[in-house]
Amino acid sequence: MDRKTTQISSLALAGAFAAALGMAATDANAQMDMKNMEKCYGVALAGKNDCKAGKGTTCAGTSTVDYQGNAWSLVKKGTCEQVSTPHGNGSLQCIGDRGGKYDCSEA
Amino acid sequence: MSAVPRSAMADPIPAGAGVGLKPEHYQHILKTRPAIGWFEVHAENYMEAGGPPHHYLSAIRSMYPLSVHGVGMSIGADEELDQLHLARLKAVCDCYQPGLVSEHLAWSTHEGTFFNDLLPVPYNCQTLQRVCSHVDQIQSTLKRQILLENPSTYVVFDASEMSEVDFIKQISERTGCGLLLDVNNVFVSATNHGFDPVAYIDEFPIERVGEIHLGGHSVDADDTGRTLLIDSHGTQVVDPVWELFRHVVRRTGRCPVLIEWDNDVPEWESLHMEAIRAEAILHREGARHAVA
Amino acid sequence: MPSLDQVQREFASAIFHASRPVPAGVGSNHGGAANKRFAVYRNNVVMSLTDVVAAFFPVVARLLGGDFFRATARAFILERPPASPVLTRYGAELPEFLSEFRPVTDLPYLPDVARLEWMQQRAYHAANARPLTRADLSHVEPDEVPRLCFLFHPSAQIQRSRFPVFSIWRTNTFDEDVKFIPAEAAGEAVLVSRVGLEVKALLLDPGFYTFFEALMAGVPLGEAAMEASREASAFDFQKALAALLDLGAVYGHGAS
Repeated sequence: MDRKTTQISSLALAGAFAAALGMAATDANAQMDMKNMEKCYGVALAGKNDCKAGKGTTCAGTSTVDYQGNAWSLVKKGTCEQVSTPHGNGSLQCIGDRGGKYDCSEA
Repeated sequence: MSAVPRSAMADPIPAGAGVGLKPEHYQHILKTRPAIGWFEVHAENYMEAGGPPHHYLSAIRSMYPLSVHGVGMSIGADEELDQLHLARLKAVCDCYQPGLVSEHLAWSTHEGTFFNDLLPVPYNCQTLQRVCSHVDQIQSTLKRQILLENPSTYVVFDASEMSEVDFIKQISERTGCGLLLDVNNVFVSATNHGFDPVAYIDEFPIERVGEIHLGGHSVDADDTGRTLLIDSHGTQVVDPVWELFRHVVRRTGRCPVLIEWDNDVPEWESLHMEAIRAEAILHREGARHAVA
Repeated sequence: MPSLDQVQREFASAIFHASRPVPAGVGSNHGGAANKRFAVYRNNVVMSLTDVVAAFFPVVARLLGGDFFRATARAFILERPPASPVLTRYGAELPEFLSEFRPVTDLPYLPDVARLEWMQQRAYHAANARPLTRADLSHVEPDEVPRLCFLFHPSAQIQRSRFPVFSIWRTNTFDEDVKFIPAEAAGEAVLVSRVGLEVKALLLDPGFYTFFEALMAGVPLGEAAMEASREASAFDFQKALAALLDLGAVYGHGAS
């Protein structure tokens, strides 16, 4: 790249830099595809926004029993069949009822 | 939100009811500033560098006294204490200046694996020495007294040579630590092992009790069909435990008492109702204690 | 009498090997077998850690479904149990575990989905730092612009996957009925960053990804912009810079 090109792109860069600073934050948001700007746990999962903190530690036990399920012997019943995979057979193993929506309350 | 006021820095835990602070209630508490004496958190939930948990806890700490309850120090382990974890506990205490710091008579780490459960220890001289050495280390690192909590247990050891109360009494005498009397744990263990919970309370070194815990348990059965209670902290405190608590308060007088509800955490109001109930008992039985 | 070390060694080992008998010397005051009593500890360990994994990886859990997920989590816990009592850091190895776990090899995108969820978990707990604002940069002279280097916020991380990892995550996080994602869907790149108290994820086109990746590696602004333009001719420098500021992804700057 010759010096002239570099010089021009530097000027263009400085101009775009100034323009980006001049954009109000909301303008910038508006210009971006809002669908690409999903908020995570805060808003869309209203009321469940603390789940990402985990349930946290507990000094209590649980009354739930570990049934020692073996993943080899179980059928996937989640939403994985909604994602097609390059290996055709893959999705066939995701047969069965699609489980209810997983949410933190089931955790 | 204001910074922690100077006066709050040394806030002692009031001799009244508090509740375990859960993330589900952060915003409600900040919005409504409920009338509750104090909160308790698990130290391990505040050992990260930053983010929302510290944000909310700092805000709540500026309004309420705070107690820090460790669940991962593995005091009952034969192996050495995890010095890194002890340093983390110290950092939490330095940051939040709790009125009380407590841990469990249990182990949870073995050869680099953390089990995330409070596992039981045999009550004998060897364990006593290990536990006392660990409590000494913690108290000298934190430069303060800690409270040690009596456990809920589901099995007993052939290797035990003394009663749980004797064991706890000796730890307290040798290390100078205070005690956290978990009344639900007494009830759970008494049921599981067939001892009298009232006699346990009567033998307990009550003058060393700095805090009381109350929580719910669930009911199961052992191999022989006998009732086996599980300390699950997922329900309300049951009547026999309230009754035992009344008995405790007649001995201790007014004392910090905490409602623990860690699993299936309810709406704030249900949790608060439990605290109000505890407060009423403290008021009534504490008065009787004063007269007696 | 067994030593405390011996007691705890056997206890620990029996917890993780459900087929082993209750350790000798561990029992019930009432006599009889203590299997169900000891099982309380086995349950507590596996179930409490399963809950931790489920809380950190809700999309992995939804993709696999309840029972299959719990069985997978159980295998993970037994193979790679936590080493620290700070459980907010437990799960870092799940993506790698999933990439080697035979029952899920038919879901090749799963490790990358787990990686994206773990990035968000780390971002949630990352150190606080005041992000750069537009005002902070207003004094930068035009000729300094190409030489600017940015310090990224401790929460900011990027990921590029050969799978549509963001789309999979998004529909499983926000949609009641999960949208179908075809096999031929392109791979995706994501920037995760915490803005205030909220963790955000942003889908990056190839130009944005190249730009952010270069900046994160310490490449100066001018060079990063050129790399991005070479990668994607439609690369919009102004938008990319605005996105970086809006996401609070940078908190300091200097000249190269």
